[in-house]
Amino acid sequence: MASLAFDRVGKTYPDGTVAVSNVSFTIENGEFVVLVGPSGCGKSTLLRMAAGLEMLNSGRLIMDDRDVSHVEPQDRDIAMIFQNYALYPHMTVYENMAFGLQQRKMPKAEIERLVREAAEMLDLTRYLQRKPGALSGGQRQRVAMGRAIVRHPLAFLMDEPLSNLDAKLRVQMRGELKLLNERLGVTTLYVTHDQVEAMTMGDRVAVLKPVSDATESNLQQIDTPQMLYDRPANLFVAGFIGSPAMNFVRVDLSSSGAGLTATVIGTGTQITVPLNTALLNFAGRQVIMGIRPEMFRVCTPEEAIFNEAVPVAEALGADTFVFFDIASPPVDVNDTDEAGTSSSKGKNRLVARIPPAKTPRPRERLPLTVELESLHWFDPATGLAIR
Amino acid sequence: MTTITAHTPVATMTGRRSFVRRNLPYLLIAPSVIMLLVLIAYPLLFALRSSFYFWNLQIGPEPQAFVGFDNYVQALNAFDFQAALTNTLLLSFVGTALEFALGLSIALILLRALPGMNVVRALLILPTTIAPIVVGFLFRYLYDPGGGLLTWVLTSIGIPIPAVGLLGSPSTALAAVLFADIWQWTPFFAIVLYASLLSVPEEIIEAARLDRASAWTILMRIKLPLIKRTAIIIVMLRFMQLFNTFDTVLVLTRGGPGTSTRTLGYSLYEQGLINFNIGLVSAMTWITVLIVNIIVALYVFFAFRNEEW
Repeated sequence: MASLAFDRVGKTYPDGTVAVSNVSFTIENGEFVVLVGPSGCGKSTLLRMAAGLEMLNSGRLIMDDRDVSHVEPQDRDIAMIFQNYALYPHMTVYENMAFGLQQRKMPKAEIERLVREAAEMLDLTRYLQRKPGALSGGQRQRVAMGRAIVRHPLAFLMDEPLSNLDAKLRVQMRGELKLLNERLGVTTLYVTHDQVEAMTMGDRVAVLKPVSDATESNLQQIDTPQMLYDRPANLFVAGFIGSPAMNFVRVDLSSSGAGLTATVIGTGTQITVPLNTALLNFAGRQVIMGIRPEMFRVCTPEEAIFNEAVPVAEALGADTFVFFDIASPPVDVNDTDEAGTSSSKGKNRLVARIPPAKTPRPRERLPLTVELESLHWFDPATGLAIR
Repeated sequence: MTTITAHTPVATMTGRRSFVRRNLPYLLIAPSVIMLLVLIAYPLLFALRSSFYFWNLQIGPEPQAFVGFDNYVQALNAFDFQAALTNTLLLSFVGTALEFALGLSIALILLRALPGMNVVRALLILPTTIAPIVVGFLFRYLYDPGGGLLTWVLTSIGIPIPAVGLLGSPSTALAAVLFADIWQWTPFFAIVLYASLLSVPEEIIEAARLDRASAWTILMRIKLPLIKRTAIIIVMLRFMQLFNTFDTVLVLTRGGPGTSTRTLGYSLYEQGLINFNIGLVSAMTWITVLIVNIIVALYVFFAFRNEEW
């Protein structure tokens, strides 16, 4: 086991494309860290750098106290689980798991003991003499796990290992993987584009974003799943974590005697905001207000902050998601406007989670209020959270 | 309730059409079966019959006398049979092995994305596209003791060349013939092996690297087993072609000096198309067919024993 530190790591391809830049974080010994982000955010590249399969152009990669930035994958003692499992198709399950051990010139009896032990743990004993082609997706996935754990490596790297499984199996394997990690206590770096996977599995989650030049950093925030949800550092993280995504509304802030008033741009709706010292500095300016879909409450028309017709409602059984439009300019989380203002035209579609019993009939207006304490505020110029 | 009545279309269909429909698979495969029978089975059977007759075309157009197994006895005891068989086996085994090893090395180099590889790939296919006869002539000039390029190069780097030239000396002639064949056919192995190596998923190689396998182990235990089927088949094809080597020998040495480069293929040509000894050459053909089939059958048995198809 080992700690793994990325120190201002960067990768630029010969054609000038910046895949990764300025990423710094440390995975503690035994920790399970998930890299999550949309495609092109550099998460797989970072993982492959940790494996030694991809070389970094700048920064350093430290395992424990050893600089492994330019060490060959053979000499890193790291195990990786690939998206397509990358099992050796011509070898049996036993041989697949034994291969890594054979490379270390381990005695045959010792290899046999370790492989059987791992097979037992993963419920693969019955399949040891089969070839990968004769296994189901879930079983192949477990063989890939087995191949990694028999070696007792310093760290596990997992590249979207569950993405080829069907939904039900994915949930099951998610649990098994997490359990296995707790049992073995091996440092793990896990890549996924699925935020549910990230939130449920990671001790900490790193949210990454594609970058266009080497001055930015892919790493937006690294924190525990709950902190990412409760206190997103910026618009990107706020918009990425949470499903459905957080709603963003442009408002004008003005101080009004005891507190602050936010006026929704376009509709003119006024919201009295609880006093917040950080927010006071933004009085008289435009800011972005973030509302999680689960923070809406159905109320009487008199109390309503939003009272719009609902063109789309998605009934999920336990909850219903209702979508409605307000006449306010939309917010693009990837494109913060430098001027801090924008035109008041446009249509902004919001989504709220409500109890199914409160679902309005088609074309009927739905009066909604918001839990004011749980609003999020962002500076439109930088995209950073105001707190 | 509604009753649905089905009208069987069979009754209305013409007899001719249903015949075509029923026998379509056989009709489609028939041309190739007929071609095989006409071009392979018939000549082989014809040769089998001829092999039991004394029949020399210089004497007359019809078989002259039934001689039983005499032709076979004569073929096996001929002055050149031993030499031709040894040379043929040497050429086939050594040639196939060297061409495979060299071709594999080239294929592995091609896999590395070095600058200029596209051009190399395109050039590589060239020797294979030239007719063996032309390659023969090409190498005759290259080997020429009076001013051949290869002779000159070897002499200038200090390797002694026999005065009669590489093709004129019994000790080097067979190697010289083999070299021409290697020059022509190594690229064939290189291209085919390169193509099949491309189909080995990169992730599997990466997994092996992370499993701490050396480049050599990855080649022997991952890459080669994964391209085994292709390799088995091209080795078999090339072995059979080499076993029938005739045209390069004809152009380069005519089997000489002495019997040093004589192959079974060349002996067949000499008996059949120079001496017109149809009975004898038929017996020799059958001996050759038997030998090559026994070798290939053994090879196929051992090579495919552990393969699931």
